Amino acid sequence: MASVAFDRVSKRFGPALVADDLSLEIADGEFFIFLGPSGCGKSTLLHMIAGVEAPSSGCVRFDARDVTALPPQRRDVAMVFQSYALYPHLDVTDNLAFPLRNRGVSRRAAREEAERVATALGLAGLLDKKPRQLSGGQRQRVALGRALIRHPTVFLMDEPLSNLDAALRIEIREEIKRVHQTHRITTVYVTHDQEEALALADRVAVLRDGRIQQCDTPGQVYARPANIFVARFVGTPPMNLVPGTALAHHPAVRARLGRLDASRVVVGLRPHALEAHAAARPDALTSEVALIEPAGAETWVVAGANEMRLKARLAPGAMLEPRASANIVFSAEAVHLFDAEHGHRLD
Amino acid sequence: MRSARREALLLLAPGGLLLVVVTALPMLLVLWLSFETRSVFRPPAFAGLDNYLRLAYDPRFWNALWNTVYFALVSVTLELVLGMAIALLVARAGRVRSLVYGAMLVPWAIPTVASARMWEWMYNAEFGVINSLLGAQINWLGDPLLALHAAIAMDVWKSTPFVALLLLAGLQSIPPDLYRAAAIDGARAWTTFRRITLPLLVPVILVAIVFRTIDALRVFDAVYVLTGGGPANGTETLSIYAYKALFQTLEFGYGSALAVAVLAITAAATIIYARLLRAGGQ
Amino acid sequence: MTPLGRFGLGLGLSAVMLWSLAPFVWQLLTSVTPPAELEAHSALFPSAPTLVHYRAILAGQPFGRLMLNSFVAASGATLLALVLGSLAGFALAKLHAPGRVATLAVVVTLSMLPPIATVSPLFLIVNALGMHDTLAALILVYAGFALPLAVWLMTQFFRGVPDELYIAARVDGCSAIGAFMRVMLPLAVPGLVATALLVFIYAWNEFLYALSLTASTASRTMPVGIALFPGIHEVPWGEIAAGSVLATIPAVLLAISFQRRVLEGLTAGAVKA
Repeated sequence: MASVAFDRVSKRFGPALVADDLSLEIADGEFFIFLGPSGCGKSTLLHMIAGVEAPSSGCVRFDARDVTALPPQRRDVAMVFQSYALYPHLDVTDNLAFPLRNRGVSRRAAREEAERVATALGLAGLLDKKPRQLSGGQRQRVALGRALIRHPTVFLMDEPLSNLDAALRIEIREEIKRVHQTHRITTVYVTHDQEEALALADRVAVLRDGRIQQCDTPGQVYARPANIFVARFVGTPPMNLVPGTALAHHPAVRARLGRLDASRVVVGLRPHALEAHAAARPDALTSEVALIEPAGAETWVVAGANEMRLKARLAPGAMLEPRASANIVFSAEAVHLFDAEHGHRLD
Repeated sequence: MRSARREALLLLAPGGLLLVVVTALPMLLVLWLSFETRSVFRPPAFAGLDNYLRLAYDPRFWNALWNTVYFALVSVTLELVLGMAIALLVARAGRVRSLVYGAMLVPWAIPTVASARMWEWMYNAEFGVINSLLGAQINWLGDPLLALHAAIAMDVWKSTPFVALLLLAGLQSIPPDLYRAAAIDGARAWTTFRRITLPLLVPVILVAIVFRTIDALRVFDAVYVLTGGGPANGTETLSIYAYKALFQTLEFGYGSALAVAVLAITAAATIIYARLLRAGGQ
Repeated sequence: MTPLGRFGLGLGLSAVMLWSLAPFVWQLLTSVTPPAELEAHSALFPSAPTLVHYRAILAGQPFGRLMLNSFVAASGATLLALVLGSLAGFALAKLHAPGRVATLAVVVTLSMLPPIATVSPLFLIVNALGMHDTLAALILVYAGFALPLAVWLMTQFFRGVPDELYIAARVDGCSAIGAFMRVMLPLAVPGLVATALLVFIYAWNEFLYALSLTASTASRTMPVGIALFPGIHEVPWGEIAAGSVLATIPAVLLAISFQRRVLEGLTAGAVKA
């Protein structure tokens, strides 16, 4: 078990800057998630922790030790991949035992350990099957088992759930959470799915173009996004963003604006915090309904007024139809303020 | 990983060394040799461009050059046309496909030398099967012009299946939906071929042309064994002439110059085709 | 397909097969035709097939020895080319080798080299090293010439193995070589087979260097033997045919048994699938 630190790490692939002077520290035993759009270099960060890629500059530390020059087989890191990366020519037992065999464990001891891990993950009857004979969920369990079997110092996961269908995804997600709570291994996880990140992480780092936009607990990232990018990326449905001038007259917004110039401000309002009523309400925004989106427990109303489009929750019991008039209410606490030019948070 | 680069270089080193010793180094050396006169009768002496001047005025060189280029042009063209026809045919083979593929690999697998002797026997004026079947007494290998074409025919026999297999692989990579769309649009066989198949096959065709042309320009084994370069140097290709200069008249300097000529021609063809390939790939 | 179309297809395919096989079949028939009948304008088939020609070349001449030399040279070259080629292909496909594209381009260009261009210097080098008329010289030369092909093929095949498997093996405790031997190689077996077949058949058939670098039965190979068949008065067509058949059979058997691999190798990279 160890803490992992990036110390001013930059990584360049030709002209592309995948990591830009990144510094952060992941605590021992923490479940840390890198969150960002696809292809923004998150996997490369994992590869640098694993030792399969070297930083262009800066160093990687485990506890206080600089491991940048250490080859992967000496770092005691385990990794789980999106495509599982199970060895196709080995059966489940040999796949699980592979890391142990590489470290000189005897064949018999390794097999016993493999069987133990397999049983713990519910794979008992599959020990002599080859990966191609397993389902996606089973394969991912084997991948997890292979990573766990040697009690690694650091656990790396590269979008492990992306290849699974929705139901399986939830199931394996819970498995991962359970494993982490049991073993408390420092885990660094990479995903583009913000829902996954919010559900699993102790802390989340939102990445864009190699730079960390915000690094905080999921709750904080959701409640107080550091800039417009984070605000739009985290939370479903995405936050409504409106020029300050369009809402400057609204009392709640005016209260929050204080002395700020409305033309230099973008107002953010999460759809969850907006309620759309059919009947008139004090301090409501009147707008015309463009779309109704039923979504199970919620129904979303998309309504516009003066070139402003807002998505809001349909108030319980209310009835609205396209072209009807909607009255949208929200409180001052729901208002987020961002700088119009640079996007950063203003409160 | 910094040490990963070192690992990679270490793995590439042994192979790289062998390649340099067997290929790159001799290539430089042959250039050096071509600037010398070196034979059994004289110690090696620097001779500047003498060998190349001699080459330029050597009618036998020009004859060999012509033979080589003609051989390459005719055989590659024939191989391409016949190969295309065979590929289109075999593409529909269905269940007997393996059998046909197996048969087609036989000419490719036969040692070139064995194939040449085989054809030498078939072309035999008195007892050869070709004359027997034709009921004629044509002296195939005794007349310079006939012999050159006989050699071309032999090369076409041996290499067409390879070209056909290459084109076949290309044909199989064309999505069948394109053909279905064409059929729905009412296209007939020739139009489909011209408008859909051929354009999509251009990259593979170019690859086939490049490989075959280079092989044809540097041909040695088959023709040497079939005719020895005769009669009257009628089938003497550049490689054969170079070989004779090197190992029969033992003029290492001049022979090397001839060898460099072959290298130059092959390199020129490679560059031209590389450009065409790059353009054709876009 | 209409019955007429089917008939036409059958006819065409038979023609293709006839084209491919007829000359060899003719050579086969010649090799078992008694000497007397060879020079008579008789029917295509021998009346009384005989093995006299085979006996002549195996007993009367050291053709068996030549075949052995060919086998040793081809096997040695294949082994060497496989080892060096797979290591290089692995480095080029999976490790971030510097100048990867340039290296491959150079490698492919080297394979277009005309053999005649390097035969004179190699002859001098081999002599200088005292390796004239040795099988070792042939093995090294053949491996060297086949290396571009081997590297090209193995690079393609290793590219087909997912990068993540290599990363997983490293993370699971293998060094680069360890990952190569325990994970990459087992998964590249089809590539190894295709490469081995193509290299073996190339070395088995090679003529110019065998002609130039060998002098006696110590290292002379089968193609040279076939080309320089001794014949005092007449050309011994029967024996030549027998020799050709013996020389051809291993190559043809290999090609047909491993048809799929050979085809994979021949078309690798030529077609963007």
